[in-house]
Amino acid sequence: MAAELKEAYGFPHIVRSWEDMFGSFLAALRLEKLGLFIVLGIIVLVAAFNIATTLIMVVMEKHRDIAILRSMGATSRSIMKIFVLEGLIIGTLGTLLGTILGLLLAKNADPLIKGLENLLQIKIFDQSVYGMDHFPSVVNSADVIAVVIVSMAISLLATIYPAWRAAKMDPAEALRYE
Amino acid sequence: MNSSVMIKVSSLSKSFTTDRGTVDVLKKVSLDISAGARIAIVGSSGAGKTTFMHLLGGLYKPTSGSVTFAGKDILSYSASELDAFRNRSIGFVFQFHQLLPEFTALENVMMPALIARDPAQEARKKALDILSAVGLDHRLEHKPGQLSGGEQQRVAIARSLVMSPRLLLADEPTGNLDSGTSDEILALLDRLHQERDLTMVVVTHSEKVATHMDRIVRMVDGQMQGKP
Repeated sequence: MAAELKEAYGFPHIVRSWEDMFGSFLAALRLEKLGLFIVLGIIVLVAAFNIATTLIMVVMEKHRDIAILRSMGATSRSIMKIFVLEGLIIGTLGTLLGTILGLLLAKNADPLIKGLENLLQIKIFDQSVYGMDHFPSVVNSADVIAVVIVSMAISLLATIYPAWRAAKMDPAEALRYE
Repeated sequence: MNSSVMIKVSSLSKSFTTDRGTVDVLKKVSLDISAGARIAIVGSSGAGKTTFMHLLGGLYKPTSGSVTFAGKDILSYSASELDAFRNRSIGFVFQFHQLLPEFTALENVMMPALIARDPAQEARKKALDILSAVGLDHRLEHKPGQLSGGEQQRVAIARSLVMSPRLLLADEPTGNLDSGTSDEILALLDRLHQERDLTMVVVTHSEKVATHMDRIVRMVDGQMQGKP
């Protein structure tokens, strides 16, 4: 748009887009977004490790039971499936809860922030900085779907190593040292 | 090969590699087990009895030698064939019952049938039959923790036999039971042996259990004493 206007109105007119005018401000906003993305990414990573360590503990705890199942003829594949399924159940529940909570927060962001500001007597969203009278929160369904898919995929990935360990366990070894 | 020989073990050896070097647990063990026989394997701790039993059950791969079951070398089985073999042809009974604590007696006994992908109704029926054969039809919905030691071991025996295997491998089946309860378990094993034409290999410390069997094989330091 600005480029077209520049074509149409040459000298002595000056055409400046709002992006040119607030360039550094927008850059700051972009940096803020990137920072948030990194922080959230780390949180997701921690959650994934949490699933993995929980499952590793379960595998260690259940290692006698795994050996018994193997001695009864359960295949290592089916043992692996048990633990992948357990991880998936944890992952699905977590994703479901997270999505519901996230959507609730996003839909009610403005009243929530105003309520918090009143309650704590602080300014969280400074209207003079952003030039808006309310917190602009929009639920973008494509984003929601992407987040759900990624978190499910990460929780599935986190289950693979513990499940593989369970499947590879030597049943005779576990039964011997009981 | 003699047709009545069910299991033929030939020069079976097993070594384990540990931090302190290689330990030869079994040294060229040979043994013929005829169908329907009851064999006690006795010996002191560390003589290799349990390892021998685990090898018979295909839980380990031997270092050398072979185990033939009904004419087939079980070492030639693929991993999934070996799992199916354990599921259908062998029943394991361990010293400490080794029941799954979260499941009821009935569910524990159903487990091998469910692993074999039997429909739940059929698995339940099989489990009910064998549980009544071991005299536990009044304890179906109890968890292992709510059962006495003797009852737990009877559930374990029921579980090992639910798929009607031809071979029962028992590792110290009365190892943690008092003498009265041990007698009950031995009587039960006697009865099941007769009713189901079972071949039994029992690993034990107890002379009493051993004399109950048709044949006693002594293991000393990874080797069989006497003729195979």
